[in-house]
Amino acid sequence: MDRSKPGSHPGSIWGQLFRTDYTGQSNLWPVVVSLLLIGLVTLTGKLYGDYLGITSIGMLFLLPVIFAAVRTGIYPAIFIALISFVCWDIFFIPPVLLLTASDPRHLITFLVFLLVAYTAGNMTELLRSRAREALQRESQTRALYELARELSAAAEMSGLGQHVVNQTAATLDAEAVLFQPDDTGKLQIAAANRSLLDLASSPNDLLAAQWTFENNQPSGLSTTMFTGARGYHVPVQTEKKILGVLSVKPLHDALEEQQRSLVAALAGLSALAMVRLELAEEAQEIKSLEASERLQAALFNSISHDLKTPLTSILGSVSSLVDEGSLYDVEQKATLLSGIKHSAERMNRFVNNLLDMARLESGYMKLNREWSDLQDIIGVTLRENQDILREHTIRIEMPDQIPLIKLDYALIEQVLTNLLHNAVKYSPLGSEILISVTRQAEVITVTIADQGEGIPVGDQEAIFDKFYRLQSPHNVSGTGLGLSICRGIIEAHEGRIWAVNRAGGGSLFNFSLPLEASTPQS
Amino acid sequence: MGAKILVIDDELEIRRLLKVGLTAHGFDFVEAASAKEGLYQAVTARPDVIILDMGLPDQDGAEVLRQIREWSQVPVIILSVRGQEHHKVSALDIGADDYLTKPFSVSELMARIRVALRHQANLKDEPVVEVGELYMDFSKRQVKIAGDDIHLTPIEYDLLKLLISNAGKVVTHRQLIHSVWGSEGQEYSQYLRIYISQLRKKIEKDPNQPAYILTEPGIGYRLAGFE
Repeated sequence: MDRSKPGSHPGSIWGQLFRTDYTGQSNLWPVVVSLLLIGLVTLTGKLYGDYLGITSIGMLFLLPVIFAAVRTGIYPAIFIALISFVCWDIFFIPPVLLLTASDPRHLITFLVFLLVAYTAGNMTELLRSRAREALQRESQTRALYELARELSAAAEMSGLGQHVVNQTAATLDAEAVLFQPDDTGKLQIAAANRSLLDLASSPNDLLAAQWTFENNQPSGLSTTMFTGARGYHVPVQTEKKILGVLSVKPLHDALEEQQRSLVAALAGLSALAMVRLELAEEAQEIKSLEASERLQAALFNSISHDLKTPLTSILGSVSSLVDEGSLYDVEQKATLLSGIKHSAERMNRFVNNLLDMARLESGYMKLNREWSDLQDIIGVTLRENQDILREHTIRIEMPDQIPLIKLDYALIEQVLTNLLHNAVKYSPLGSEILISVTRQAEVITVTIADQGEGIPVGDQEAIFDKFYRLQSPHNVSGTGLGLSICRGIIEAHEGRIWAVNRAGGGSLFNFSLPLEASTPQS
Repeated sequence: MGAKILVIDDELEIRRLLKVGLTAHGFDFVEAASAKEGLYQAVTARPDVIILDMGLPDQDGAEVLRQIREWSQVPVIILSVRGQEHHKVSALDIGADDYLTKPFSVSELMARIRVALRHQANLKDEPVVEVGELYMDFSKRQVKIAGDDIHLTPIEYDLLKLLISNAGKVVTHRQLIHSVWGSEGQEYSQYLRIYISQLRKKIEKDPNQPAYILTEPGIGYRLAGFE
């Protein structure tokens, strides 16, 4: 324990005489003033002694005692009472200049001096200590309040720990460290009010902190455990478990009882905040886990739906033809067979989309970019999908000259295929689908316009989310994978894809590709 | 008996499908389930056309093709899946005649086989070729569409000549570039796109939906068969 400064030793009279109290006032000056008062009274007594009389002079000597008692405390007052009495005795009671104590009446005066000094001094000390306590309480309350306010705002564990140590350090004028256990239960520094702390480097303190953590009791400074440690260690605990250890090393004084309880209060506050955060994090985790499980389930449902629907149609038609083929006439057979073909093609498209999605999701979407002619891609897409587009009128608007773009031919063809299927799916038979290509300064934009029902207001962005369709009430078959794959592909090309409703009905799906996207593939 | 077709594919379902389709079209059907068996059949059965799957369990399809090409110019049509364009291109470059992407229809396959057999039969240059309304006379360097003369630049003419001599068959970008510019350089691939686009504007009714020069994405072009 640090005992190098006499002023910090509450037990000694000397220390009492000159200590600096909690409010920062020193006892030195009131004592000196009292001594000067004694001199003044002595001088006055000597000048007007004949007129005043010994008893009155004795009364005057009470003044420095009262002054000292009011301004300092018991011990300085008794000291001044002693000096006052001695001066009165020596200078005024015959035989003058000799310390005599023969007359019992003078002894009574001395006792009165002591009584005044003791009583008044005691009162002063009491008042002062109450004021000091009130002040301390106020600053502790403020510290706790401040910390509580900061902690309630902290949204993550590391920020929270930093708030705790900063507030603790500032309030107590001390070093502060927050230890938290790692996976093996060994304490690690979670936060410190500054780097290179004594606490963090002292083996005794690390041992003490670990002991506190394991035994759920304070240790170190001002305790009976690990008295060699330089810091005071308190557990950061809730009713159920210990979350860590808060360690404090005062920069100057020892820790008083009140300060220790303040540390404990700060630790308790921290524990509550940590538990709150832990609970919030757990809740968040559970929430995202649930979301991903929901997504998994949705994926599963939609994949099985998208594969089973055409399979059902194929198996149904085929088994009809195989088992009871003679029942059907040529026309009915043709219907069944074209249904089989249609379903198989649908499965094929779906598998292609699934494969593209897997490529996009796995993150190794390597674009196979080559100089390509958009007109050519549109032509191929129309050719490949002519069966599906048969029931619609296709119109193409294209400028005479469009520059080549470096892109992945197969993927952009997939985007066009998906957008065309989308247009067919959501617009009435016989309506027109317009494919137009426009060139701006730096980009080429392809727009596919249909005359369908349009996009629900507010969903223009969401339709490109994976499985958007799952949340929509529309009962049109399909996963809703298509548009999200389009977005993935276009974004991989540093392009942009968006949808708007068309004035007069229908929707416009646009994607633009940068003309300068000639960056070599990595 | 019709021409003899050897199918090398490890999938029983595919072989069964092709057996039905090919025999129904009057072809003689021979099958092999592995590369080893396929090579053996290619030597012993002497097929007129080989249909070769690229994903064989015991050996890479391209390797089988290379070994066949060491001693035979028999037409080989390869079967492959989507997303393996570079495999198809390299197979075509080492001597495959054509390709089909799984899943494919039997009628598509029949068309490919017929084209392959026709090219096998008349390798000699015919001075006049007619495909649909497209008429080309190599001896006069004359090109007509629906009876009207059209003027082509020398490069356009060379491109169309190569495509029309291989009518119905895929011609890879590399083959076109090599034959027209005499180079393998990739820098010509941009020019190729531009010349094809110009050529289409001259011979196609609707260049947005070409009927003659069809693009084989990632591989090359094919002049439509018109059977």
